[in-house]
Amino acid sequence: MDSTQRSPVTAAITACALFFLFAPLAIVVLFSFHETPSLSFPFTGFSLRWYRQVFSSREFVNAVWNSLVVALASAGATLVLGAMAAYGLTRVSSRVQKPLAVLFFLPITLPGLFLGLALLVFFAQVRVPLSLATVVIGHLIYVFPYFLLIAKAALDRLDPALDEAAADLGANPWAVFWKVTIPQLWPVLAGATTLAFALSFDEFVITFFVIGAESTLPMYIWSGLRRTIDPAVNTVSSILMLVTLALFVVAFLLAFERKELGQKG
Amino acid sequence: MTAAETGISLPRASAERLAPTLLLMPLTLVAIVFFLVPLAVFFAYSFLTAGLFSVSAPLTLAAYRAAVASSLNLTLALNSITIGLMTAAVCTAAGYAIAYWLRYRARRLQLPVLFLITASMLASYLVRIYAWRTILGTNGLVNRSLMELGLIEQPLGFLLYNWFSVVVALVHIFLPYVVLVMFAAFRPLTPAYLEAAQDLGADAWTRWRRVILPLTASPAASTFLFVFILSAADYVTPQLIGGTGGQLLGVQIQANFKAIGNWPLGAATSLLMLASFLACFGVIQVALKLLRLDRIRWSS
Amino acid sequence: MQAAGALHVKDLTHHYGAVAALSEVNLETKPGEFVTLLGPSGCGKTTLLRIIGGFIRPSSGRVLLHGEDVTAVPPHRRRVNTVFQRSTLFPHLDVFENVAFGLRISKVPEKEVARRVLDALELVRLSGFEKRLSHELSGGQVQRVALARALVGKPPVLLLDEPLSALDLAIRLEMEEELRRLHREVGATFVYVTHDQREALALSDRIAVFNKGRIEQLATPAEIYRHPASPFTARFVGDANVIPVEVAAAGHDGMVLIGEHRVMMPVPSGIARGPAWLVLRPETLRILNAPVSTGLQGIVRDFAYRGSGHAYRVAICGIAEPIKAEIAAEGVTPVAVGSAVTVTWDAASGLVLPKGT
Repeated sequence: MDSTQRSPVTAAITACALFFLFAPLAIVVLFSFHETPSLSFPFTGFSLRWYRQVFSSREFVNAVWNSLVVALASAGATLVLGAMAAYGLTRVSSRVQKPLAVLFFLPITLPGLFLGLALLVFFAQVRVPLSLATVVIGHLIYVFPYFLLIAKAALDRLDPALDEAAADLGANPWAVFWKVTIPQLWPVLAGATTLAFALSFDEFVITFFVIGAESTLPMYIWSGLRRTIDPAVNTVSSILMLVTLALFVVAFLLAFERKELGQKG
Repeated sequence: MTAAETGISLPRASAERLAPTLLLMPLTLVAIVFFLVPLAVFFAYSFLTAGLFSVSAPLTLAAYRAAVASSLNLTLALNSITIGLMTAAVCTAAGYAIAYWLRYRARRLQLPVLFLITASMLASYLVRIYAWRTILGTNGLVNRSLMELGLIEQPLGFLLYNWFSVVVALVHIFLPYVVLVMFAAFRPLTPAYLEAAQDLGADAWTRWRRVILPLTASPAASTFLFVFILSAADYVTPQLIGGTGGQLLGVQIQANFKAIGNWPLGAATSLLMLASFLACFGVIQVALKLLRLDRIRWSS
Repeated sequence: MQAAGALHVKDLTHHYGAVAALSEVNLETKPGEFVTLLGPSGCGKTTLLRIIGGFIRPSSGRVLLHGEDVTAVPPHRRRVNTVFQRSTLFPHLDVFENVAFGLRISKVPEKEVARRVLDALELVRLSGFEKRLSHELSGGQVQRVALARALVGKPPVLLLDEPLSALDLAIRLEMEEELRRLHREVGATFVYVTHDQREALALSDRIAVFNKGRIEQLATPAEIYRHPASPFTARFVGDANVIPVEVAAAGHDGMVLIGEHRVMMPVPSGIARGPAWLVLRPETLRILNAPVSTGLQGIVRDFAYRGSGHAYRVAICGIAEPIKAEIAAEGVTPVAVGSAVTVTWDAASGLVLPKGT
């Protein structure tokens, strides 16, 4: 289509959508710097008081620490299990691959409510007490399909000719894996793992059901939201957004920007 | 040929042929133990007798009878359907418009705008809901601005704590995802197809009706359904900004487990909900197949 | 036979930013003519076609159809149809529905739609293909359906944007024959864009040779081949030697300095003394072993066997580029590389062009 043609309607909708998407988030960040506890306009002045207050809160620091630990554990488990499974999926016969693929991608189709409830009920049935460990399990189930999606797509793009060449030169499958496959894959895997970390760090819907007495950062925000007016929520939210943004940028750069040798273009 | 095309493991020795299966075992085990089994237990609970935050052996359909008979459930279900449909409809319509602009009109702005939309997905789920609570309130941005501009005398009360705020927040959550999926759906539809339609006499509306909509029907329907399901099952948004008019079934289900303690009822309601989602999915697939729009084979 | 369109393009200029894609282009087609816009990529031929089709609004100038100014008329209201380079068959419709697409938009009654679609498919020799989907068709079949779709509305003017360039050579030759036949049967004005000069020569009633946004020459294929108006046209259409020479005297007994040779040959009287171009087609040259006064002495540098002919490259003293000569192979022994030979030609075969072209 001659792109000098104009579509004012769709352009306007896009502009409105961008405003709609970012204005609320910008306001949250703005008010995290507000010098008064007021959450409405007019905006009177800038202050870091809420940041000071939040960072000196023990609850907050605990929640952040817990979120980090859980996210690290979830991402780590996802990396190990997911990388192996992705590799296995590409090498196994399609008779086995098809049903397994369905199983692995099923969790994405289920709303988090049901995933969380099913785990809650399961843990009750086998009498496992709820704790951060059960949260890690919940996050793992939630996150691994996304990891698998990225890892499998990257593996599919690899050229098997390189594997064959290495085998031809005398490398056993183990050596092929470490010396040929991994060097090509590690940026994508690192990116997918960072994504897993970010998803876990931010998770609430499932965590709500499977967490014990401890708190993660989203749970901390939730309890803040139950109280009607608390300016600190703006601050914590802004911090969470910043961390997630940084993680996603890293994940994006690692997973998608680098076109390694051996990837079919 | 890629590894995916050959699909068969390369080495010949049986020990090596075993390796891929071994690699798949751990995740399969995890998926079965922590996904399939819990779902099966959950499913089973709907047939058990309710205790207080517990279940006991006698199998019964009492939970299902209670779930279906409950007028509260009915109201919430209707609410969920309405709000789910509205959210899905707004997201899909806006998604179409934005994806169209990105694909055919954006030019140098395409990448920056795509990046912005993707970036907005990063904002935490809870943060978004909270943001709208501050904006839509009687002292929030919208009301304050309208009063400053002299357009209204009293703050508008209907903006928050009802179905409206729930839909707004849910659209805010799902719109970026819908745009990305629709943009991907538009990729194979090169401008040449639209030019050919135009050449044969189709004006803008006809191009939408006879070319764009049919060729994007399948991904659009999938996305619509996905947003509908996730919206209808949402339990956080209603609790924070739903008020009385914006409650969804998910809240009740969640309450059955956390507050009320009637687990079979919660499980039964959940299964009924899931069954209806599956039915919707089935209906849409059949409809697409009948219209021969379920799988488009692009030739070039 | 249907009504044929009279297409007139007047003073058409189009800019992309600072770059002029077309400059003051004028073109008038005769009704029912097959006109080809020929030129290298970037010469403006596709831009002109798209302007005629209505997909681009020209920076200035007018497009007239049957005398009516359609410059501002959008494509869906112009009585012009286009066949595109790559497949634009709608993947969700079968062949019948694709061809019927335009008819349905015009609200043609159902019975007539069926009749016209089947006629159109018969015209392109694809009867029986109605229920096929586009991904089930070969490249040639796709373009045939595209032709049927474009012609079923009986447009007075048909635009074709390099429709054969994505096809394999064998299919391309077959489709060329189809196009000639279709043009004869349909009788509409065909405006054809290609960069393939062989194709242009084979298909066209007239060719417009484009160079950097201007028409260098508009004439019949034979005229363009035998009397190219500029060195560009000479090189682009068919193979040619374009030699820089000095005109010593014009007229029937003219004198031209070619390298170190003084050759007597006719020079058009309009050409001034001084630098000029000499255009010699390789197949009009002869290679002799003995020196001749009206010939050029040189050494054979390269020989290639071409089945139907022998292709030589002869280096001539004083001329930088070796001359290409093509001699019929029938009953002739090839000349060895390294031999000293003389290259001559009939007086009528040499064409002198002024330097400024």
